[in-house]
Amino acid sequence: MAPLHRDVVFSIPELIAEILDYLGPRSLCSLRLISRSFYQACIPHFRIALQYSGPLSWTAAITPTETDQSKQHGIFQLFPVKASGHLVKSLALSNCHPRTPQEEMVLKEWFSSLGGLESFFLQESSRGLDPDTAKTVLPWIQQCPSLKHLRLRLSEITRDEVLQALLLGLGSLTAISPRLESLSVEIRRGRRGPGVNLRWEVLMETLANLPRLSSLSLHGFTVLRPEKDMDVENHDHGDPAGGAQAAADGEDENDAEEELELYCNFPKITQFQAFNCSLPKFNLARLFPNVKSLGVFSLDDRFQTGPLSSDAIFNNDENSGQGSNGGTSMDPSSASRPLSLNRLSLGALTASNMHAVLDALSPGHGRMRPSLGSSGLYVDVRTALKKTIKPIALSIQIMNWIEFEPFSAALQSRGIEVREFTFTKGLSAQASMLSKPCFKNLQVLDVTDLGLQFGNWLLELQPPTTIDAPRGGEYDAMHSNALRDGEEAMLASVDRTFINSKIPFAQTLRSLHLGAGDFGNGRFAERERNHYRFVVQGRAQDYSQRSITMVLRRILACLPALEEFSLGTALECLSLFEGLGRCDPIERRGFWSEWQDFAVAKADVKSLEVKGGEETSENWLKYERPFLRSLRIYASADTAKKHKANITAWQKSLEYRFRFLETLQITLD
Amino acid sequence: MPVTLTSLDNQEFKVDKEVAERSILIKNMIEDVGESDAPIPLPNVSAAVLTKVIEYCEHHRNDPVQVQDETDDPRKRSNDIEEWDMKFMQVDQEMLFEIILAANYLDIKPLLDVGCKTVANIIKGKTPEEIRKAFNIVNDFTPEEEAQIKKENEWAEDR
Repeated sequence: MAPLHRDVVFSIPELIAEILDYLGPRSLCSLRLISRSFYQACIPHFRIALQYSGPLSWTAAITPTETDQSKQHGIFQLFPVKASGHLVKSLALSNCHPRTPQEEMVLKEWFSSLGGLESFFLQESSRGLDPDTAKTVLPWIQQCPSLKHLRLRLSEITRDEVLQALLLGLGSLTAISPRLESLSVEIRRGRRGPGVNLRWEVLMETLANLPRLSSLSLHGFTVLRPEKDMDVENHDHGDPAGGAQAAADGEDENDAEEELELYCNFPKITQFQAFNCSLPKFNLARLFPNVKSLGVFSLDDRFQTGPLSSDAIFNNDENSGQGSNGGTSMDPSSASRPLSLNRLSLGALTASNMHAVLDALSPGHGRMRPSLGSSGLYVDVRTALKKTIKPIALSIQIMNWIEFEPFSAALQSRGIEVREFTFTKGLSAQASMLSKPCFKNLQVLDVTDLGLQFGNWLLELQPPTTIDAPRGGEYDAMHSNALRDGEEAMLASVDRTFINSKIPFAQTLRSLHLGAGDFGNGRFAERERNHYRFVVQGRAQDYSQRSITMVLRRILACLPALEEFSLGTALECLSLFEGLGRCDPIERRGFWSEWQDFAVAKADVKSLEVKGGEETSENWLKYERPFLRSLRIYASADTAKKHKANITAWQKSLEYRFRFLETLQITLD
Repeated sequence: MPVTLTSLDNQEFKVDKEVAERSILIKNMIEDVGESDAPIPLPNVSAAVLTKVIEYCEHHRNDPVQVQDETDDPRKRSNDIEEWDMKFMQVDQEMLFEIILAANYLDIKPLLDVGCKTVANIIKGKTPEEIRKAFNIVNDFTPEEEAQIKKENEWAEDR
């Protein structure tokens, strides 16, 4: 008998791998329990992520005594590394300081069992950091031949040579350096500690030794200008027009920093980020000619972000240049080749920082002047944007930048779209800005401040088909016939049209993060839900007591692309999610008519029901939106106290409702 | 110019060259052989499946070539199947897997992707027992092995 085609597919590793690529951790956990062959197939995709912070009790872990079992809390006891070490793909260690040669040896041996480790995050404070640290730490890393992503976070260090030794040592690790794809170096300073400096030449040498590096992130230190006669050299701008403009703009001589002329470049690097990182003036387009994603964040007044580029031009042209790193000789033609960014992230804490960040991206001579507006500090970014860029996407983080209107106007006039938008305090009052056309393709919205103003804005989004009315009695008798007679589809259509007109990004939003807050005056009250029902506006108006929960729920229902949702406000129950995801057709039909209309006619609802326990592949797309992959919520302390067992029930309920969930986090408030 | 394809069961299908060339395998064969009226044998694809594959290629004949951007989210999504493709994949399980095999053999990446996404969507949200039942798979683990895997699962990333 010929084998079933299903069995043939499942016997071809490449095909299983293709399927597994679409599955998240939860599905993989289930799949690897099915059979031996699936277990084997899952190995390359299954990730164990170990995190350990605080000083490890190495001595206790290595040489436990019979009388002191309580000390056996080292990582050896927590994870059976010898049996399952090959499954560990990600490791985060904090303050891991072996104190004796024996401990070092055991740690090295432990690392050697992590043959599949791809991602390593090492966090060290000054206590364990001296110039010899590189000699201690790097051999551990050397033991991980599969390592692709390395993140180093060094806290409170004051000696430049520590950072230098680590980076130079990293480049010399022949087992690692040829494969490393991303490198992040973060320096966390103490409040009063001096800044850390890195020589330009060291950075260049490190990059030259990492031929596959495609992502570079620098955080919290100063890269010093190079000495002359190295692989880079200083010389003047050579741009008389620019110089004249700079003079006209009132630059003083100190501001007109000389740009480095570069004799090498790193064409493999496609992502570059600088956080609170002071860099000498260099030509981004020459050093990283194929950079696609650029992030510049200046969150600290003590750092000044120097200009990154004097002539980088951002446009949508295809840039097909490929090559390898290694400090290759620069192609002369690349000197004039424009950058082609598809992602630009800007961040600033203060107006002056935003000034610095935007100025860094302008062609070097368009100085902006922060000015004091009627409602606070703002930066006239229109000046900057004249000189800068037209990226395909813009990611913005705004913290206490009050005047948003000039910025949105500037974006709009240049046809720039914002794809990711984060704001914390200060912009709640301007939430209506989100209706501007520059947000029409917004994909990520992160709002920390859920105050009264934001709540009011949300309430303005209440669909016109929605009024709030108590259930039962005369009201139900009046409207139940109308609902049965098929008004639902019509209501849904009106709702969606309304939401789309108010929220230009309703069709594109993938990620929505709402912080803590009650939207003003405790209006986030879930338990009121039983008192509401949706009917056509104009009827039963006496009952209108608007609820943030209800509006938010209906907005979620109108965001078909939403995959990530988080809410920092503590929930008392799960009514916010009623009618969303996989749910009883009656629940959806009764309260959430929009889903019936979303993809199919109401008559098709029956097909949602599982037939004979066998789920068909055809119905999943029609009814289960949003397909949340990540959900993070808080449960109120009271709820947790009263209904402790219910938190587990919440988890099961949400996992059922949103079966595409890969991350579910319920935090007890 | 039409091209003739011959299925496993010797059925012949005449299709436009640009439609047939959605298959990289066929495209390469045509380039290797040059202009010819000779039918192209596809001994690994039955007539029923070839009919479906041709239907897919006809519908997507003008689609641009997919390019993966390096800075895009590397995680693959399975919830972005187009409406037409979703309906196209409304077939019984054996046909679904036959289409995947044919897409793999004929080197039609978009069709392979949509087939694999469909299978992934069937798996998502199911318990191990439900998956075994859905695909008629026998559990060949010992209880000890199963316990060990469950222990490992507790350490899974982002679980």
